[in-house]
Amino acid sequence: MQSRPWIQLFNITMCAILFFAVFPVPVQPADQASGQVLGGSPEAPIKIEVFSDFECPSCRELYLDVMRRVLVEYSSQNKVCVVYHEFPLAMHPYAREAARYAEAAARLGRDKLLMVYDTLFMNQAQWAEDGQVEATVAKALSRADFQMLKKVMLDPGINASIEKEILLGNQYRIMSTPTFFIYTGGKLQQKVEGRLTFVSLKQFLDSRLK
Amino acid sequence: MTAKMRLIHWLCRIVLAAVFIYSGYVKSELNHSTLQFASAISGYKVVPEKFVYPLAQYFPWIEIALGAWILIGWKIGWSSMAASGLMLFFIGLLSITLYRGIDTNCGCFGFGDRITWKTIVRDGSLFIPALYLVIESWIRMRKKQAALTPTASQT
Repeated sequence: MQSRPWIQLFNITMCAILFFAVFPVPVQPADQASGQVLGGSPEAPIKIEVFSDFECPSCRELYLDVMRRVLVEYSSQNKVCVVYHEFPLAMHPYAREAARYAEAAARLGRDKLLMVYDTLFMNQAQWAEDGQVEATVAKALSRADFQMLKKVMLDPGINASIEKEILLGNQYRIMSTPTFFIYTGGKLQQKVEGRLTFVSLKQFLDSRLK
Repeated sequence: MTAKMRLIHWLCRIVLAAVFIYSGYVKSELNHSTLQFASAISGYKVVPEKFVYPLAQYFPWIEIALGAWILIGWKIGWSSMAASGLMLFFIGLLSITLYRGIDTNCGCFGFGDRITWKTIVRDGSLFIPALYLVIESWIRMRKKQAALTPTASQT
């Protein structure tokens, strides 16, 4: 059946309408969240914002296999700013406590924060089983640093910060962890729910940094 | 072509075009989902890792172009054949993945659905309109050829 030219023109118009009217461009999430900067500065050309739960196995894989490499290969040269938001899920009984330690460590500086992140994710299976979050963090820090961390933990602002992060996650409609957003020039480029390999992320980052 | 057949023809084209354009759009750069789609492709464990991101970048546009091609109706036999081939490929890939016991996202029309036999049935049902258009255009071509071939009485 041969279509007449006016029918073809109508169909092309329909295609255009499908694109520009039926499928609106998604609303971009607000980009003014606090969070914990794990690497790079906010002026870096690319910003990655991760909503993560310390007790979630996929978050562990994302941090240890992907984000740590991003921190080494990109954030150290200030090409990518990596920001983590605590989003402890209610189904994980020790996730909030772990998030409190991370929030407190952030107040002691980025190196302490990274130590706490590393130890919490590397030993996730153990503390998620026995609930010994404090002992896990204590092993990673010096005695003096841990004492300081315990003092900071007394600040009620720690809980308030986590609540704020959860609220922010709800505003972003986070349904599962990990979920991360990638921005360039303040504009949303990608939204990813779940795991991603470093190879794919690297190819994406390199294409944007050209 | 009767009015009923014309209606079926248009329904098949619209359904197929809408499916391909929508599924391409949700996975594309337009929906900020290239990396999400790359993650879904990785889940199938069939594509070498270095080809995953390029595939995630370009494949949605192939689907969108195919949907637009079907909707426009130019060389409908070829476009519906391409759609049938793609559907068969998807059904095969989903079946193999399910058989291998890999629990991953389908990545077909979004990123929430895990691969189950229902996913295969759903994708299989979309093969029907594509196959209908292929058969219809083949019959039409045969009729056209028969009309052009001079019969013994005419010579």
